[in-house]
Amino acid sequence: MNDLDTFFAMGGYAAFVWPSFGFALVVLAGLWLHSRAAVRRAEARLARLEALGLGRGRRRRARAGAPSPTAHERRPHDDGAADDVARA
Amino acid sequence: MHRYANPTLFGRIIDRVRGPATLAGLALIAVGLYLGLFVAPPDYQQGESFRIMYVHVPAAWMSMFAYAGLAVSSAVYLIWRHGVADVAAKAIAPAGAAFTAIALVSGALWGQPMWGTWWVWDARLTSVLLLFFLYLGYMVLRDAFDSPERGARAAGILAVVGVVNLPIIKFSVDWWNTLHQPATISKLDAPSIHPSMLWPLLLMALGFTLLFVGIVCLRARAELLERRARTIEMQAALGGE
Repeated sequence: MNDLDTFFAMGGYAAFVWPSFGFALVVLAGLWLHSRAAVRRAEARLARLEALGLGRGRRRRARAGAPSPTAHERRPHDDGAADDVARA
Repeated sequence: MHRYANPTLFGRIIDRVRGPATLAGLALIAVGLYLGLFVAPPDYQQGESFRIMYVHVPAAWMSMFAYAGLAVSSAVYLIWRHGVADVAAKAIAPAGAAFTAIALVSGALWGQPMWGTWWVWDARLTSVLLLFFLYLGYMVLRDAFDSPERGARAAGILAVVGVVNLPIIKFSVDWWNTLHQPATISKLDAPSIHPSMLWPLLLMALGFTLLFVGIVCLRARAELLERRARTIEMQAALGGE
């Protein structure tokens, strides 16, 4: 048990060492949670649209990667339907 | 290379990479922490406080690596108008800001016991603080316009212009004789650090990199879904077909 105390004391630098690691943990965990929440938000938004009967149409060219239709004109490699199914 | 501008393929790649990168990153970080906190001996000058290096240095490396990615993605988007490059840039910015914040805070926590001060306006510290503000500016600018596209372009220009800060950060410790110590590890000569201290650092750096990739893929996935929803809503507003 004493070994553990020695370890946590960090030679008197505990007040600097542990907050450094703690801050990194909190920031990275927060970033990951925020990113996952963003995916869930977007999935919910798409689900709402589907419930309205929108967005199912493969006939329509869903340009997932383009902010607007003009920014993504057709290219030979672009087979059109960019609606990769999002897995939950 | 143009193939990757296809959103479908891009989406498939990020979905495939996301899980493995995140898990491998966490595993490497775990091993690096164990070796860095338990196995590596205390530094002969800095005692146990040198262990802050294991979070500070990888975070500082990531802050610059991420910015390079942000600038390249932004340049590709501005030049070729590939929406996918903009998705990547938007996903990278918050992750880069997070690693920069970690580098700044852990640096202050290291500076206090070693230098006797949390902060000095030395060239290295100031240029990294500027890097942090560039990330924040990028994110704010994206949302400052009614049209997402105009925001993306304005922010992209900021990201590309801000790239001049990277060499300033890198060489600040050589150009100006200030408080921050020069690089311990460089490609040009053998590192001035014992292997038992070096290995955990390299593992942590690789772990941070993989975690960064995993999180960016996750954010890019969210952005692709949002854009698809936006497209559907626009089509509906225009009357479908």
